[in-house]
Amino acid sequence: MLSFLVVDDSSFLHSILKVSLRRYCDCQITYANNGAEALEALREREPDLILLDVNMPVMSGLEFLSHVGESALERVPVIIVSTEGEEEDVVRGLEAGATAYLRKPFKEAELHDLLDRVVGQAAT
Amino acid sequence: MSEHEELWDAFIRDTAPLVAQVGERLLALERSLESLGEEWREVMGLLHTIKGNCGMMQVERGEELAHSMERRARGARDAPIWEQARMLGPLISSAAGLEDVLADKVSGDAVQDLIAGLDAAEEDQDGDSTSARRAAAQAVELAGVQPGMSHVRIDAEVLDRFLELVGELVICYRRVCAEAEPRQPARARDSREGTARAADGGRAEPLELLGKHVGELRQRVLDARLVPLQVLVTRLKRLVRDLATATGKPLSFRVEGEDTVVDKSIADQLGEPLIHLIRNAVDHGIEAPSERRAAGKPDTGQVELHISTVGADVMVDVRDDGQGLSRKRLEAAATKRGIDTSGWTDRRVEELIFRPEFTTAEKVTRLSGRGVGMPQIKRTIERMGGELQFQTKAGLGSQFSIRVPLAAAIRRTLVVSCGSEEYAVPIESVLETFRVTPESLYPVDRGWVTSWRERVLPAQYLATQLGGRDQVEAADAQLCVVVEDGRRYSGLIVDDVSGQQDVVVRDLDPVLGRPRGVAGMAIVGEGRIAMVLDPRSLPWSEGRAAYGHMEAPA
Repeated sequence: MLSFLVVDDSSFLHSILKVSLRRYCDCQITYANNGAEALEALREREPDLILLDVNMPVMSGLEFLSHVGESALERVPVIIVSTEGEEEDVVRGLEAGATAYLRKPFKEAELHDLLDRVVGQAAT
Repeated sequence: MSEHEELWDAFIRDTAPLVAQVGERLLALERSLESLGEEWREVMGLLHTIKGNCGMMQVERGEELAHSMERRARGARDAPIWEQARMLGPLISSAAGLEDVLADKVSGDAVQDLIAGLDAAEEDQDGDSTSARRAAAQAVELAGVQPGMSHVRIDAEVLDRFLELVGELVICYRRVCAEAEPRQPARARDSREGTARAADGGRAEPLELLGKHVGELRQRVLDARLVPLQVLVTRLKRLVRDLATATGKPLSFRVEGEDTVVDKSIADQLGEPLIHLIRNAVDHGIEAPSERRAAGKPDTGQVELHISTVGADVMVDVRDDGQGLSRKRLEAAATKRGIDTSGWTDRRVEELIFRPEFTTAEKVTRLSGRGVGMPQIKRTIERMGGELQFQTKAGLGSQFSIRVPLAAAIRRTLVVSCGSEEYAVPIESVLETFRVTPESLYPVDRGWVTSWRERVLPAQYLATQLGGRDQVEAADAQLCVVVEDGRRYSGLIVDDVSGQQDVVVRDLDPVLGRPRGVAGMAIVGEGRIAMVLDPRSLPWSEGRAAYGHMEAPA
């Protein structure tokens, strides 16, 4: 069973991701509302994959990435899920250590397709 | 002044005008092939005098060249009309060469090349051999620009080279733009103008100007290649007149639309098929006067040539009011060859004449039975990216309809392969090709991004995007072809690049629809079929607009 950490300040997104991830595979999902909570959750248990928003109060997604440290990022792939869709946002996210980028709004199929590729990549 | 110098002066004073006259007369011959025999005799006389003068002055190169030209001119005088025009090219080149001999600014090799060109034209009546071409190119190089003329003759190959060069120039310009432009959000690069302006201050303006000039240069080169079909029509008129004499059939030839202009390569390639079709119409279509009278037709056979343009195509119809071909006659011929035509439409039966084994002429005549058959004609037209159709009504006549692109539909492409498929990417949209590894590709939305020249490049596996269902297994290293669609750059990830190739773009079969991102089909390599891509309409080039909203969770 895969374990996911969903980091987003919107409970709507929590629900959407929950439904979509469950339809993707049998999985266990942990939720965090911002970067700081995500760091805490990470200390308790390292998931197989993180879905990360960028604009969040207390600690943004990019700050979170800078605090996680490279070794953790090498073990756990991160998909940024953000409304920030400009080229430089994508670059900033990938340079900060994310594995992939998904722009909101997205279709469920897009999320699944991206998961295929990221999980597939992580497996090799 | 020494004795030799005096003699040389006299020689030049006497000979140079003769050489100039030869050049002028040959050009006049090329413009119109009227009053031929007289004209050729004049040219031969002039060449003979030039040869003698050169011999006395021991100008061996001149003597040799003039001798070869004289021999060639005699051959041309006695040749059939449709072959004379082709023989003119090497002669005109050589006339320019003679001028250079007199000015003593020509090498022995160049003269030998010209002579080889003349000889080749004699052996190979197509006048198309390599040495003939080389000679022609050489002559242009030697002759240069003649002062005081408002028109300069340019060898057609030079014109072709111009077009190639201007194409390369456009590609270079785009590369320079891509490099000059700093990394920035995609929306600031909405247009080419935006690109230039956004470049760092000092370079923006010259770049924009360069773009403008390159664009105009390209258009001018394309325009310079346009020729009216008049030249060809003149040859055809003459041909009909000769045919009338040769066959004893009175003929009238009506032409419409001869002022239509087309790209030079198209005009050149149309000559052979039209000559053949007209010969065919006169020989097999038009009946002898007695038969015509018996059929209630006027003695004079009517051959018509209709030229018109439709969109980007030129249509040329060759019609005759001859006997036509009855279905019965075609079917009989088919049966003799073991083809069962029962249940065929008239149209399909008519198309039989394009079959290699098919010819309805009971006897091979002097005019038409020359080996160039309908299948070859059809293939020539198809190679030009066009089509040839045939309609006939027994007793009323026949019509051949040619439809070919006005401009050369030939595009230079980069041929790439993905799995077992091949694709041709128009070269003008390709910026460069580089190697990518799976590690350098990041998944973003439905596609991937990679970095290219310090910029983010959205990339897609070509095979996946064009309908191939299966996710392509990322090989260790693949190639990424960077293309621009006028709005942004993107990468096409392919297995291999097999190189550049000029292809004729054909429309897809309408049954297939028109998949997005595909401009047409082309034959590449040794007869393999490749899709020609249109980077402007590749499925992902719409950007964000292509992504809809999320489906409501159930």
